[in-house]
Amino acid sequence: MQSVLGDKRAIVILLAPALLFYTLIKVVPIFWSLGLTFFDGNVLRGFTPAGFANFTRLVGDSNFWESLTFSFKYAAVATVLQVTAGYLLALLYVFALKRSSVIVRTICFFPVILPTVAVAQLFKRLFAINPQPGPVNALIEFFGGQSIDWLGDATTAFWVFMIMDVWKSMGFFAVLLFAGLVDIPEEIIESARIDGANGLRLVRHMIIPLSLPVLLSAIVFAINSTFKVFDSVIALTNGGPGNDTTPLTLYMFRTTFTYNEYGYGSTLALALTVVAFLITIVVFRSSRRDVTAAGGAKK
Amino acid sequence: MPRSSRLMRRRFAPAVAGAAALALIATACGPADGGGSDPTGGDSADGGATEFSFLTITENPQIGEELTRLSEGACADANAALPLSIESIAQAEVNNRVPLLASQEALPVMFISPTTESKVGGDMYESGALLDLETTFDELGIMDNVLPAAAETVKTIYGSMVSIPFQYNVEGFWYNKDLFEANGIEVPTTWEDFKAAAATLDTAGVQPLTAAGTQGWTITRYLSTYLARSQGVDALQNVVDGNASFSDPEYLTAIEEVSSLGEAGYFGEGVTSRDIDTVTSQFFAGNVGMMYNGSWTLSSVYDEAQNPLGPDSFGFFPFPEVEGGSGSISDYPANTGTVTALSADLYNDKVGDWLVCIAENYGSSLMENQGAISGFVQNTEVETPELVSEIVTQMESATGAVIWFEAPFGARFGDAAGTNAGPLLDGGITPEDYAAVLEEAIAADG
Amino acid sequence: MARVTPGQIVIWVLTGLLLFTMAAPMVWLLISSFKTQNEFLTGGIFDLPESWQWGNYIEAWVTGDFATNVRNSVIATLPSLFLLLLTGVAAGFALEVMVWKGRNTTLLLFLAGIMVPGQMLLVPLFISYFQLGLTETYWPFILTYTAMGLPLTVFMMAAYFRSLPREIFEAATIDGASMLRSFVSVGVPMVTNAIVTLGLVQFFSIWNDLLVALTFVTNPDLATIQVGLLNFSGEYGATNYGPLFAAICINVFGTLVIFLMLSKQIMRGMASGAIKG
Repeated sequence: MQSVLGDKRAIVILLAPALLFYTLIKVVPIFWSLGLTFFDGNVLRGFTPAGFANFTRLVGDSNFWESLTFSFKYAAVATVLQVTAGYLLALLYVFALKRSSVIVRTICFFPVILPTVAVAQLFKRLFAINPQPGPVNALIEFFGGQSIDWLGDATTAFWVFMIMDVWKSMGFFAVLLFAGLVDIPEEIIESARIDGANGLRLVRHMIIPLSLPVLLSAIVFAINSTFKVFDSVIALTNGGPGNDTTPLTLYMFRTTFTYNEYGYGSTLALALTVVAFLITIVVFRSSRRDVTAAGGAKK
Repeated sequence: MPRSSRLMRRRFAPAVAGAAALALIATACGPADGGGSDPTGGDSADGGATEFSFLTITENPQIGEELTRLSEGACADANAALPLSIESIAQAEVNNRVPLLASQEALPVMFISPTTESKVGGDMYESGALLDLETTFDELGIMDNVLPAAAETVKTIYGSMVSIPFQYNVEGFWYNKDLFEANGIEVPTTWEDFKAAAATLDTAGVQPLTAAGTQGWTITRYLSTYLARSQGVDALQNVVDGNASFSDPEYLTAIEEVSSLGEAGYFGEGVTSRDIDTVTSQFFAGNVGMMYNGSWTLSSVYDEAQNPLGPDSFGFFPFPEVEGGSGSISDYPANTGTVTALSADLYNDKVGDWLVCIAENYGSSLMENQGAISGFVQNTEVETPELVSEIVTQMESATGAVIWFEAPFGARFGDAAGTNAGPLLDGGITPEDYAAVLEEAIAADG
Repeated sequence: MARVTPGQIVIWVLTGLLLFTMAAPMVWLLISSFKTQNEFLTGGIFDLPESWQWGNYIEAWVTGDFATNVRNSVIATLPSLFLLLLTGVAAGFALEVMVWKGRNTTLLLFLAGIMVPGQMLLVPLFISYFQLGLTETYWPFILTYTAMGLPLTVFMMAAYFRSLPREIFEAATIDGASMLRSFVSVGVPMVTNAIVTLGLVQFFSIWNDLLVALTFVTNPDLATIQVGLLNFSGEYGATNYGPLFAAICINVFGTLVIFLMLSKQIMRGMASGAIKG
């Protein structure tokens, strides 16, 4: 049995195409770019070796640290909110709405298919202060408050980002997690119910552990997309006011393509990749350990 | 699906995925050496272009449309010898793509070039990719088809004639004549009058000014023009040369003056997050007294859908004079749009024929068909609306060009000045800090 | 008849509220596409237009040649999606179900790819494609989308395979089935649900991509829908909202039809016994 599961020919046939695509079109360009971290210049001016200059510059670059902090904050808060909202929705689909959930699932997925430019316009209008107060400010004024320039201030703009992110992606995470939840055999849940488990206890002790692999994947997915947030920042605030809502991706993009410093831009990209990778490894390791303990089928 | 796969087969005929992927390794390992095929229309046997390829920006269809019209009419001969072919990229991609194309020796004959890099000293300019248009136009004998002020503007901004003046814009204040009349305000010619006019409107409950924090230029132009009025048109050049700094008292005054307009609430609430469409719609709805903008706004003035009040309600006046300043009110803030450059490598006689035809016909054709002003002389009489003629007259009387705030500096400066402009008006950043941010950016740009 | 409990009422009210927040923007989008520029900018966001501007749709269709853009989006998306799912599901199976030395490292290699910002690949890829003469064809789309989607697809498929009981595959091998056969006849059917879900997600991320679509192609004949939407923006920052939203509506409601069709697919997948094992 073990020899069939380890059939070399099958492994090669199944794995090779993906590995080939991935290596040629992603891995090679990545290393090409990373090679540039030791150079200064751009495609037009040519490249001159710079040793570790880009790395020492990185350490002392306050813009880098500020944008890294913003990226961290963004990824942490958005990941928690997105996955929580998505998980609650998925639980709603599976346990409350059951088979009638198709319509709800479909409608909640709507925002995912909207282009960023449309979503950004919508939220600009919702949180607008002029030419006239948008619905949110109108509501504030109705209760006697003062209109707020939501996108003109870094703190309030951050929350607009969060609301927009959750709105746009919770339907997506719900569907992702739903696919994991429906695969939990009903008999297991039923038998737990009979044993007296109910509501929250059921969720905590049965459902979360059983859907853990997919839940952890969703977290990886969320970290990945929020840490690399780019389009929506450009569309909503363009990183402003000042640099206050500039994530590392935008800073990297500007350094490379606006300031034409490919070497330093690649160094920023490397930093971004390393940080995101470290976070992922932590999540990944914990998920692997769990499965290994439970499944016992490793090696 | 069957339809798409049929289409695919046609496009994909020569290549097989695996082979392409393998070949990718080969090229990926070594640096590019310029041996690839050239799809952009260059390299005929005698060198130079085989088609009049033009890479424009998607956001500006004007030039492409007008050239297409010329290729079917006045320039049909030039087009027969060297057919026009237009491709486009997004404005935001220019900075990234055009240098990349240049490094691959794949530039088209005519292309939009990144502003900062096209200046003397910039990478595009120094690479020798850009044709010196002054020499070429002189050789072709078409320099007298270019408005002298437009040529001067190009040379002032870029240090050399690198851009064809397909556009020529002057900037100043658009104002609402009805609101001015109702409040007994005369068109201001000095900064003090201007502030008084704003105060009068404010007292009357009218928002005096509007600008867009998301388009920093609508605010930073106040700074550059104020400086040109108070310190002369060389104000910014002096900073570049290291003879002045934004923290100098006379420069800081300009920043403080602009900041104080914001502090007084003249721009209304939410200026930082306001976009340019909101600005123009506020203005044309008659809710705002004045708006700094360019002569390209004319097309909106004469567009009934955008301007329900009609063209008679609006006027244009130059940026007011600063008392005791060394600049003059007849120095106009001007620009010639995005840089439209020619490839030095691909230039040949056929391209020259196109240039001659463009120089002779573009000005009148653009005015007649799109009602817009270019940097070319109008060789045939075109009937123009009143406000247009008025602005053209002002353009012709311009004595000097005021360059925009970001123009003489690098890309970091542009970002710093633009993204902090809104906060400068709403109190998010002090004038001193703004000056410091600018100085930092200048240092970082090197 | 079943008694309605207070808990159920709460759930239905919450669900109703949820549906409203999710669907209202679609209505907003549709209304906006019929407004004039001034109505869009100065009117209330849920006000009906004074007169319905059908002209916006005509302008959207004519400007930038929308029909061509749709064709290009389809040609760029479908082959990429097919290649992506085909290679990604197989690799996920090989990495999770099959047992071999180095599979964890390989999975980590794919995982690392998720984290790399796409912007970083642009310059090397552009130079490579250009040297191969592939720019200004559909190839850069298909190759790049496939490669960029792979890490996530492989990773997610591995996760879904992991949640299946391993005994199923062990049983299949005892029956004497080769691994390739048990992949096709046991593995794939068991994760149809996940494949459809993932396919859906990847479809929209490719369909809505702007980065790749902008980078490798300048010929308007090859421009995708997302690139076409730029035609409604002006050089000095102005946007032509009516036609822009009309174009977005054509795009969104068009893809919605596809989505609804695929949604049925999910339902069918769920109803079939295979999923529950």
